[in-house]
Amino acid sequence: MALATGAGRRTGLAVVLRAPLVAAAAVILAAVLVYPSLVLVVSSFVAGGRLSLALYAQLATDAQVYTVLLHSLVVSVAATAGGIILGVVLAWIVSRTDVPGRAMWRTALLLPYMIPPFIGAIAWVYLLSPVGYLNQIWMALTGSPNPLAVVYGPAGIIGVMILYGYPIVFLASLGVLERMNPVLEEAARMSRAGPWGVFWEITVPLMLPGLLAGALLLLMSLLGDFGIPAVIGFPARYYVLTTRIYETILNFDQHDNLNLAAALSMWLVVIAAVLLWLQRWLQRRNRFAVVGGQAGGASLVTLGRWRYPVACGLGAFVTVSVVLPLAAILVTSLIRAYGLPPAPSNLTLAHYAEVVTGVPKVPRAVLNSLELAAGSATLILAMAVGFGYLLTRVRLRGSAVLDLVITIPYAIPGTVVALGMILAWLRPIPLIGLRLYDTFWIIFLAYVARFLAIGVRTVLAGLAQVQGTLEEAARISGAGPLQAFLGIVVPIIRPSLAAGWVLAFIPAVAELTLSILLFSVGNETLGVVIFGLNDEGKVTLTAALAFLVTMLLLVINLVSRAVLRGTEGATRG
Amino acid sequence: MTDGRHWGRHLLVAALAMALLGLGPGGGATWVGAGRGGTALAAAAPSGTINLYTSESEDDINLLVGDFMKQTPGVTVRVFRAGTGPVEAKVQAEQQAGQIQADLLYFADIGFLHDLSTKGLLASYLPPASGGVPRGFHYDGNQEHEVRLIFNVLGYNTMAVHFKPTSWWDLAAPRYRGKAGLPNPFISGAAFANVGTFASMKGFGWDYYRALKKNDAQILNANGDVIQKLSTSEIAVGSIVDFFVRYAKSQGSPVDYIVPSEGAVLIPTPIAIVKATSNLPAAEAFVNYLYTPGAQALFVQRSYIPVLPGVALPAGAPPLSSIKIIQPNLTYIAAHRDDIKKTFTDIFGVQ
Repeated sequence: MALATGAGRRTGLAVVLRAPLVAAAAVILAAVLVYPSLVLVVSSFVAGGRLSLALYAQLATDAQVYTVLLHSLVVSVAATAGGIILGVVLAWIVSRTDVPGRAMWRTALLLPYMIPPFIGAIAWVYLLSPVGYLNQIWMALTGSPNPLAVVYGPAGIIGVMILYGYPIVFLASLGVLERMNPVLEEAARMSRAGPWGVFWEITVPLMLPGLLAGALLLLMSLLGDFGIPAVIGFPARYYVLTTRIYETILNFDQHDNLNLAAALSMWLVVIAAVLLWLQRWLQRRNRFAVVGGQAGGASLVTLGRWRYPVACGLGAFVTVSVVLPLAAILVTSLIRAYGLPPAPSNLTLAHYAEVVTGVPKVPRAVLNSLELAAGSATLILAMAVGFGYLLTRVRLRGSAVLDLVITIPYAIPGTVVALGMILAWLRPIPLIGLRLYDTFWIIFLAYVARFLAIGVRTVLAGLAQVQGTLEEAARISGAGPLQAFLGIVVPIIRPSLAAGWVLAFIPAVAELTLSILLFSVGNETLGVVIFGLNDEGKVTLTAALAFLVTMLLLVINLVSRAVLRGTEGATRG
Repeated sequence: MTDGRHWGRHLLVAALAMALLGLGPGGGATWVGAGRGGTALAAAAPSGTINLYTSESEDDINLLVGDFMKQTPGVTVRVFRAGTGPVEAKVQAEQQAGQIQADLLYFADIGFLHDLSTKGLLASYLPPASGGVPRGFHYDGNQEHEVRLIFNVLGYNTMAVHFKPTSWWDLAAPRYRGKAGLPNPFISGAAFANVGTFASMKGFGWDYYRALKKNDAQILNANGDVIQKLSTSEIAVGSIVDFFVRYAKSQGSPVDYIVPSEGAVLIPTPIAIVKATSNLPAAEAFVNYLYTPGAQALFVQRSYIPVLPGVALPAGAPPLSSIKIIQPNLTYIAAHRDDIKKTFTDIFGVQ
């Protein structure tokens, strides 16, 4: 930033810089978004080297495709419904009642969001596989020869999705509840009996628009989730679209498998497009919705004799969603050989030593993941500032299109984004001869595409709060528009910049969906290594690495939340 | 390496900011990207970096690679490990992209390697250290090399099983309903060879797999997953590669295996050098190393049957002559790769 303020005062600089800025933005957008999207769509219409609808015909007549599509819809809709109920009720409890320890519960209830979902899924396999800890305890206590419940299959996928997805709705609900005018609720409370009546008839309808936005976000993220159905669905051969596309991409014995996967992806693209359209429609409507009113000052619902039972309920819930899974990972990582009872004599730290020093790809993956996350977050931030300048100051035409283009890779499942990258960059780029496939850079580009929207949104929100007068003042004293922007506005929105960086960084650290399809030797990521060890049945090593990574993410999350107080900054991949 | 510089320019902003953040490029090889390792021009002693693509078990391959690098200072072996299916997908994709990035390929699918060999993509080499090894263990004119032997057998949990299984058909027996497992042929090359062989074999055929499906047999991931689930008795019996069971048993797991009455399926798992390698000396050095008594002893330590005569068998391994061997049907597999996978998927379906 010092560079910018120290630069010359000639106004011509801005003009000189603007064209390259627009050009650079266009090139990057083309590389990470536009070109891969086009190639993806075109590939789905190419079979046997010529344009045709053959792949669509093949899919249309394959009964398994409909089964898989149905699975995707069933698990994601069911889990979204569960997530809405949990998220709303929990948000209402911590923001509207006098339950003891409200601030603590707020943080505790966000913890599941900081655990990468596929690691959560692995933890639930430790707990509820046919020989999982909970089932063993159950069988020992009851003498029953049958397990209590087995996580493999749709019910397990839905359950784990709810546990690691509800915080999206929880966060959205908290936001709405805090902005909602409490007078309405109070008026209702005075004329009606019982907090539940007020909750269902006043609070919920008022929350509805914001709630729907959160629910849509959750539905999109669950439809695109790969890790949970991969870990819990594969053992039961229960496929959803993302896992089926993944398997198709890997099945090179099938003709045109990549193009077939592209055609299969179109289901997800269409569903995502509908959801995205719904979201925009809601946003437009939302603008006129009356949420208004000053935040705070809401009088809390008195729980009375229910205060402590409700707190216990929250405690039990946090135990199930966070404590048990983390304990299961920890115990598994310490046990000498998986399957032995966790008696003190069976515990060892050897797996931690082995995973850190005995598996060469682990240190590589740590470095790669941190570089990828930091590098992509930084580029995203730079792009966000550039877009912010173009969108808010230059008032570039077609900004609505730009906004939509940026949102697309976040709405479209990561598996599809990765496939687009493979198809686009598998062959060397003509003329330059540069090959991105098999390099660090293809993962880098994929991360940039995937997380661009988060960063840009955060920075734009910050920019919207800065008034133009400050820049004008700078320009009157001789600075060009770009200098005024970089020298005056950017320093002011530093908190938003930091938040944008962190929000793009965190989900990239343990990213799985993109990396599992794009990694190559030397370019492994943490998500890939954990997933690979798990696939190979290296249970104790998986647990050791998963525990370290989860702890790292919890620390990064909690520290950045403390530093960036005010931004509800929990996120993940 | 001009490529790297080119990209560096495009991403100057990122690199600059990262440097500011103290998260500089770090390990040069990764950052520069393409990095097939700076190969010195044909030097006498092997040096530089080679990429090994393999489906070998993570700890086994790390043990061998670690020992090799200790004995061959100057050579770095980078391992890309995944199931045979994903590794092959990688190789295929790289072929489409123009060049296989691996210097060495080492996995349980001789058909796939044979195919590469017929396309002229593998290098011919006769490792000096393999002098005592029967020449039959070098395939396709010394292009693929068998460095130890593995068989597909029936593993079982000794505590969960009251009647020792005796036949491959036991996996379809009602007493093991839902408690029998097999590795996924999409992931495991050994499993793929097994499915292809049984599908085309008298007394089995696809009916065998339909019977398994009817018995709710579980399709697991790789063999490592099968042994884990056998050890914890999540499954009672399972089709698995023999050394996994011997090794787990030697570590104290309640598992054992039998050679079924129909026989054990021999699974070729050769290693091959990619002809386009930019570091032939190092690649050859690694293949040669695998035949040294030291490496063969490491195989034995991990419960594999060695190919070098005179090296003691691992504990619990029957002498080769006593094993009834089912030879894999390589011709059928080579001609029906797509069909095998498709029929398997049709039978086991998506639930």
